[in-house]
Amino acid sequence: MKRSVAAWTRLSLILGILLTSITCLAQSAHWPVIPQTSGNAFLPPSLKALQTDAGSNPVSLWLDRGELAWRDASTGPSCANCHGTARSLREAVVQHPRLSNDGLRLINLEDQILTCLTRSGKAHDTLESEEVLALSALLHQSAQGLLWQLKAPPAQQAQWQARLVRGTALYAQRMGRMNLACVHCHDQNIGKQMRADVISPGHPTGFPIYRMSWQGMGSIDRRLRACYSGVQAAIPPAGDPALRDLELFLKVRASGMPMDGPSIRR
Amino acid sequence: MTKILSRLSLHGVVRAGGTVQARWICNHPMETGFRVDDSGQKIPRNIITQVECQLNGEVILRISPGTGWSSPAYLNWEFTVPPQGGTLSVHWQDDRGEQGQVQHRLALS
Repeated sequence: MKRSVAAWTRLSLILGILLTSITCLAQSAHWPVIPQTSGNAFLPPSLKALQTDAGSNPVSLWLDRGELAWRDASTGPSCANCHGTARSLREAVVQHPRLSNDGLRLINLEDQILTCLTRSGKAHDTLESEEVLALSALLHQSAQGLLWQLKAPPAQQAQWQARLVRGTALYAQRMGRMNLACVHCHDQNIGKQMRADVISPGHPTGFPIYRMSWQGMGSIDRRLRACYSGVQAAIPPAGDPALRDLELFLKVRASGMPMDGPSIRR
Repeated sequence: MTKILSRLSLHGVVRAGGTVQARWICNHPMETGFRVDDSGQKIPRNIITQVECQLNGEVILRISPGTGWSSPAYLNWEFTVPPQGGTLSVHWQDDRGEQGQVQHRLALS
């Protein structure tokens, strides 16, 4: 009796391994399973075609909008007045989120754009307002091809590290009614189908994104809040420090990958 | 206030007498009028009511879109390139009376 149980266990183990390897093979034929892959590689062919055609790509309208906003001096100095061209800020794009001077806050690119706009008299703007997202899209486009290389600032080593640790912990923290952490999908199940979607490694290299289901542009902040909603957890408000910690971790995790935003998502 | 922008592009080889595809995209909200906001108030309809395309000043396409159009609005059509080339322009108008125009010069190759 004991022997047959042991034999049965061994047989099911072998079967299990066989089945898993067959499924893995089947998946790698269609979708990349390499951890350092941008989300752009997981687009269906139709969206990939849309992405490369400026004539029908909705992102191009946002870039046009960004160009207008860049030179808009109706309420105060325009972006161009202080910074010149958007291209002159390309290095700064891949250095966000960064710590504020007092070391208490992590500031991402949209936060910084919002601060600048408020300073030049556009106080009605919010983190998800069109002008902020259009400028973010423009700046990200100017930084295309640069590599993500976030490093701790020498003067704020300890604070930066503390935020990174908090972001890392959040990434592995189970939450919501689904009781899932980021790691369960975006590390352990890359390339697998989840309903109509394919799970990507969750690299934030292609932001901001024009998401078809949003019918609009969205920042990484909004995308992360949508993840909270996906696992049915309490959704933090826009600009929450937890979202910035997570963004910092994700961008450090994407170190060495090229910036390839703004892009289209399903 | 949303700034409504549109883009017009040509696809294919622009050759006298040949056929090319024009694509027009516009970030109009295309609000159907069927939706309500968070407080239960009906959001008034605001869609593009007319799109007119002219080739060298002559109307070649006129459309009155309904509420079924997506946002951003997208349209493509094919036309024959006149022997002398010229300019293709698209003019649109919406429920609020806002309007805009884009044009594209036909550079013969």
